[in-house]
Amino acid sequence: MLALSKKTDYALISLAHLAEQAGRVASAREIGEGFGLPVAVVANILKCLQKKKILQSTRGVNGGYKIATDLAAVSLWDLIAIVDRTSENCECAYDLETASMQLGPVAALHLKLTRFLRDVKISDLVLPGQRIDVPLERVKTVRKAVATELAMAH
Amino acid sequence: MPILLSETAAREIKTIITQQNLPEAETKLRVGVKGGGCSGFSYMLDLTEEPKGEMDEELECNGVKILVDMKSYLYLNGVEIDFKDEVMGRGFVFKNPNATSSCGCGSSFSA
Repeated sequence: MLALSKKTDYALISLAHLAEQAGRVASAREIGEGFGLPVAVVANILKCLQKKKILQSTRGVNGGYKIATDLAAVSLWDLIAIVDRTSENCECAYDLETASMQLGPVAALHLKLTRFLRDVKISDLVLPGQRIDVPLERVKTVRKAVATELAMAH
Repeated sequence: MPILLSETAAREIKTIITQQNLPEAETKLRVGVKGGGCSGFSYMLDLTEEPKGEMDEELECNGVKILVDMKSYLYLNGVEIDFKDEVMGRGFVFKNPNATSSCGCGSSFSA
């Protein structure tokens, strides 16, 4: 099963929390304790994001992090590369721009996934009023209970 | 303030009703919140043929009948529901003026 790493998951949770704060700073402790995540890991992730100028940090007793960039300009691919530092290892296998259909199946899949991850913007995942709250698959249909029961009885 | 359903969202709901052969006149969109998720509540959308219950509020927006129970209505009053069809998926987006914070998994909020 393809899955995002825990680090990417924590980064998204942190960014979603910070996106809610409307300019107010939040510390790694606040995020870690608030969402039940290991504070040390969250602190490391936030530091990585700050180094890449996605977050801005304030020192001091009331210090913390806030979002410093337009999240519509950051893709999920960028985020994974920052927190997992894996993109270079993946891409060295071939050149995305010149890749063709002659690739092996796994490489072709990798190419598709890479493009998908580059197309998904962080703003679409974390910003309230922008992210999908109820995916189409989760819209349930409740038919008339009585009618169904009667039909089943016959 | 009522619950607002954007034209795109209403169109999508009508498409689902047609695709699933549901009776157009009777089918309503039940909007609600339920407990769960790490921030307390998560949104739910159901298509139902059941009539309005005692504890329900019935509204209509862009040609779609909406049912919402009184408890959920407290948290959903003024919410705007839109539909998105993007690379990351298709689904409904809630713009909720009552939500004070939401969680990272995106499926719950607190008010």
